[in-house]
Amino acid sequence: MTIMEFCDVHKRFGDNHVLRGINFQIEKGETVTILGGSGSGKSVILKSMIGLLQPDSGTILYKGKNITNLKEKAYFPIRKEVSYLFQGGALFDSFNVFENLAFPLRQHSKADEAEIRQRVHVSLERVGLKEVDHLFPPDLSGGMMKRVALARAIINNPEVILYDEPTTGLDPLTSQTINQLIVKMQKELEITSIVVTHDMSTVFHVADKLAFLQDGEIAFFGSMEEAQACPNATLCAYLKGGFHG
Amino acid sequence: MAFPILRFLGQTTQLTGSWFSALLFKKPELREWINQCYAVGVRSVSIATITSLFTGMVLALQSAYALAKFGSDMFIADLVSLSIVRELGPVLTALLVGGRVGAGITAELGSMKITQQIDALRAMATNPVYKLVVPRVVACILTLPLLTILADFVGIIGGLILSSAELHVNGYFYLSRVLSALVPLDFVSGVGKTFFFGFLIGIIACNNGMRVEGGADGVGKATTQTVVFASIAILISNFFLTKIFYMVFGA
Repeated sequence: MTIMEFCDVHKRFGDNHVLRGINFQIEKGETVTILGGSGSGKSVILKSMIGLLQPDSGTILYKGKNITNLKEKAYFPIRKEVSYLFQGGALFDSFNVFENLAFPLRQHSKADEAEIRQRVHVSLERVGLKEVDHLFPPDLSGGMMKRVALARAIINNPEVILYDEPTTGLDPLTSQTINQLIVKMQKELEITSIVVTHDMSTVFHVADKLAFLQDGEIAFFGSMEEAQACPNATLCAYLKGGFHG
Repeated sequence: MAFPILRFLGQTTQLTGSWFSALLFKKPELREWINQCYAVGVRSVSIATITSLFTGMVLALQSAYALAKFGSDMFIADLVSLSIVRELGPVLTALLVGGRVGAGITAELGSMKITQQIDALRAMATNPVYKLVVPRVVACILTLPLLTILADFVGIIGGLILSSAELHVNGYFYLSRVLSALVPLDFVSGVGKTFFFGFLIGIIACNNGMRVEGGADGVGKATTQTVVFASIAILISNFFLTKIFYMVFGA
């Protein structure tokens, strides 16, 4: 089943034509990484998937339904099924960890306080965190912040998680932990994962398929095995850099 | 110059529409409203009190010298109380609260914008206007009139302290002059305006905060813009509201 499909999607910011006809399909349950240089439009693609940004032209389909340029409220049902892990975590500063995780439950479920408490703890345990409920975001390390954000992203049992640079700014060991968590979420919860990154260790660790973004277009879309056959010189340089780095 | 101002007016009008819609058609989050009333109102009590106390004292001091020239120093209490209740109390309180609270709201929302917390709210299928703007604007509307009533009272007391201590005016005489000088319409005119001032402070601060671009620099610029725009909006609207009041009530 195709869960997300982009058909000839264009997006401009002023004179900067960022996306120049993006086409790809993502199937349910697979993990797709979108690879590309800084400023190539990877996050624009991700944000367009849940309407945080609107394309200028083209069509985006979610489960076969056209979700291009809907009104803000019409995206709400999609956003309840598709979670977004922001680059910096985007935890609410004024809430502690518990309140951050409880927030989506309080907004969209009828769970009572006991159930909320239990689901928050289950979610935190899934990402390997304990006894951090009372901490506020500024008290957390970069890795902990990403893990809390991941716990918040999975707490409402989403069908899809969009990861925006999940390992950026983290040390190699913490990056590895995050990569392992992405794989774990996909295996244990059968979540479709779309990961935007320029970190090759993430690509090799989590990807079933790779989309390579170059000059505003998808220059390559296929399995990791197909990618390693070097169909594109720039992609090849990325992959080799990843192998050696 | 005209284009950014028109754009600002357009954005603020649009946000006002969304604010009204969220206020009227969504269940109020009373807990958050109370939190914001505390942040906006209770935490502004000291600044409103100190300002109005010294304003009342200075006004009494200045008017004593001016009125003495005409042998009319018995009217100090009339002048102080009318000036404070009709104009100085509402406008000074609004300007000070606009500076303190408006800047705080813009900085808070601006920081949330640049750290993607507002996008996170949207991504969690939550309306940021309902969650962030409604409680803050409502808190400004509800607490500014209360702060103004406090400021009016403290300002008149400031005048009493100065008159008694420096000018040897009898306290009972001062208070009786205040009571005879003021009529309920004076309070309606003064306090009534602050509901609009509160709305203007809240909506301008939220609009600037929600539209911050860039990083810390953007937050700083937006915060400054809030203080400037809120102050100008208060002073301009004060003129028109006073004019409307005179047209409606004729006094």
